[in-house]
Amino acid sequence: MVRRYLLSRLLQGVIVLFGAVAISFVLTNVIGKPADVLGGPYLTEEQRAALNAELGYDRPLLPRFLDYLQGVATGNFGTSYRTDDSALALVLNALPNTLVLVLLALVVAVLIAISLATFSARHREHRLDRLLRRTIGVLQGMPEFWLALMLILIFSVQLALFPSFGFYSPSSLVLPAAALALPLVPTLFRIFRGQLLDVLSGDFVEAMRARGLSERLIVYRHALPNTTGPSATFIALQLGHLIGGSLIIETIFSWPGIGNLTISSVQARDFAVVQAVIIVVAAFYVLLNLAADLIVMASDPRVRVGVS
Amino acid sequence: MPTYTLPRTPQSAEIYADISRRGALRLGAAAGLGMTIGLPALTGCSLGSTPASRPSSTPPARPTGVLRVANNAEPQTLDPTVATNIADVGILMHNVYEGLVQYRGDTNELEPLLAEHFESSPDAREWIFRLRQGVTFHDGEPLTSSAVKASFDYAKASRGAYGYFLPDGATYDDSDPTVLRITTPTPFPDMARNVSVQKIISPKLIRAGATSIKRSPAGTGPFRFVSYRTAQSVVLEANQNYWRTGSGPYLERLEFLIIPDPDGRISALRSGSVDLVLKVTPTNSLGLRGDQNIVVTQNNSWTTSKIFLYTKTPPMDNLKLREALSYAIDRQALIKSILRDVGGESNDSWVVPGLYGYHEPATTYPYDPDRARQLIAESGLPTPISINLAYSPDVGGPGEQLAQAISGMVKEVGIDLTVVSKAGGELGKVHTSPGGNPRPWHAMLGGRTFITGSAAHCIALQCLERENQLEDPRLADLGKQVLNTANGPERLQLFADVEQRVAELAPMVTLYTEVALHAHRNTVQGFVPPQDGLLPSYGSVYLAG
Repeated sequence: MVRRYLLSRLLQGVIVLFGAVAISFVLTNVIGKPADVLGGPYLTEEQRAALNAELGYDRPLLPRFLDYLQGVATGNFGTSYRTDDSALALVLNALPNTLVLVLLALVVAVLIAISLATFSARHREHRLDRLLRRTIGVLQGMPEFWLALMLILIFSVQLALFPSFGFYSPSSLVLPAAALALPLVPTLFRIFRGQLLDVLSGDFVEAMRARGLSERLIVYRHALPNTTGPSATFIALQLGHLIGGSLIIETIFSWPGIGNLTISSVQARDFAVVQAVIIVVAAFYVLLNLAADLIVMASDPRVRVGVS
Repeated sequence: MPTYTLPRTPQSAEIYADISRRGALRLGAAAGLGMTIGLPALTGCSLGSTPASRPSSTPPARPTGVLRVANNAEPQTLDPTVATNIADVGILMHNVYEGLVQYRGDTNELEPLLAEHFESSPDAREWIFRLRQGVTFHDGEPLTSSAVKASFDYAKASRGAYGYFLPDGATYDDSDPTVLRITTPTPFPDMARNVSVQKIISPKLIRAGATSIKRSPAGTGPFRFVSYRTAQSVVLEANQNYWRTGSGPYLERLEFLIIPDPDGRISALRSGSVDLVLKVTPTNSLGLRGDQNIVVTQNNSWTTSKIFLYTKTPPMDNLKLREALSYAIDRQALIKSILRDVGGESNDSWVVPGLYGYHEPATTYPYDPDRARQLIAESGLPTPISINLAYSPDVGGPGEQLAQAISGMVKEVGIDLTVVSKAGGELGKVHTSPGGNPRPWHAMLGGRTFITGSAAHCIALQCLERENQLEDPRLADLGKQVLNTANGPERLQLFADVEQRVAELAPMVTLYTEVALHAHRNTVQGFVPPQDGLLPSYGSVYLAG
């Protein structure tokens, strides 16, 4: 039964991927052709058409799409006309940089959120708790790009502590990861806090208190682990959102990830690369969803029973 | 055998006296001789401190240090026959590749480069380029006439933009390895100016094919290509075997760090993470001028900003309406309020002032709203006249502010101008479509770069006919004569006639000559802002200390 469930999810994933391939192909092809950019202002329409023909953009959309589909099925995502490199290779080269950034941001956000949520839950309705909840709301209202620019101005331009662009050393990670992580903290904080408060009001916690266990032991040893199951799904899905959200941050910090690659490829009408980015990100998102389902199944016996 | 009348160098040129154009495009500020601020190491980007260094007025004896340049965008391509942006051809030309001739640093005079001597027959049908001897490409191949011919053939066949600057139907005689003779079926007086934009590529690389040219550029320039990492950097290193002695390269390494965000580039410069930023915005330049560690240079470029009027798209086919538009726009106000006074000259020439072929027309359109109203009344068009003006936010710059301000100005004289925002590609496609094609808007806000330093290539490309839909037998005839007349006083008069005819037909409103603003740390010395605003050379640059 579980195997059938997984197969059905995989099939859904394949359908989603096909949709991503089709939509990315059509959308990227309606925004223009490479010669519009490559030709600069010097080419006439005829010369532009000749250049497009040279690059293979003179054929109708459907036959090109069918060829593309066949290529994708065999792992050939096309070639970047700018470098003649495989589009997939370019994306897979950039993906680790994005993943490093996004994972670090997620870890930082989770650690901060858990720490604050634990403090807040343990001191519920204390004035410090109220202050914390109000302050953290302000953080949520900050746009990512604004926060990124502020971080650059303070920590790079004024204090000269961290680089403001590129990925040349571990210190390059600090500012972009902070710019991605901080806006995520309020949402995670609320989820963890809510989960923790639920767990702390449970009967088994009352029983432990009645046995005389210390509050610290109850929270860290017993309550926190019980919040991980539901939160894990949310965190896994956040990873997908963060990859999308990293586009702006990567641009501001000139981060050599897929966000930056996407922007430059769109500007250059390097369609093969744009399409490869969309498909790879879609595949990643499908896998994350599947992983989230598996985590829930593994951590909650009730879900396993439901599936069966 | 034709008689060659040209001297060996332009300094003593006779016929080339007319190629040696004005001195009006002088450089703004020279590169900073500087303050005592050193450079942080790039690797690791440890930005905590900027070690002090002493200003140096002499370049180092051997290539030293790393210059980090903020590259405005990802290179579109590293194929030099296709690249047209400052982010790609700005890296390649003058640094990796060189041409047969070039414009002398702070003037607009042609001077020999890989060709030590060039000359043409009096009728401009035959050109001779005598090549320097002992020059080798980065891959060890020698510079020969066959190598130059191979580069020209490749450029002509590549369908990139530069092939169109070379003559059609030319025959190349490369029987003497040190001399290239080019014979053209019709006079080609602009050969020397046009080959100034042609990069001479290693023949070995051309034989290896287009992919190799994109991946591992190899020319004769002061820097060798090392690497290109997508979304990160393009790295060059000093060419230790550079043929020129005593003129660089002085830098051991050049790193072009790709920073597409304009504010990101400024932050990087302020923090010392990069040493040089090209083409900063006027607003950013004003902020940078207050920083004692930074030098801002300013010079006129070879680009004019203008409103192209589509003269076959009613009601823009009405000459009086076009004239009224010209009178109704207060260009000085635009420069003052939108460009924050950081703008170039404003006049009524369709060519950048001072370039070869420029001649100030007698017909001018000073700001005169009353005259504009009078012309609108004479036009016979019902008022308010509705037109739309397209611009693209993709190209950067103050396009939208300019368009909105212009809309407000022309409203005062009875023209209801709607501003339309379009993608750059779509705008370009419409703009360069055949002149007879219907246009979805009446005018376009844009610019024109005279990349060869002359008005002639634009006449050859029939810019006015295509871009402005201008059909005028007199202008067409003048254009033909310009292209078929050898350089000299007669040709200059023809250019002046073209200027006057264009001004009379009012197919555009020339707003101003664009000013190129560049900024660098004051440790950077020897930087000469490119007079075309596009192609800097780093061969003369060195770092203080």
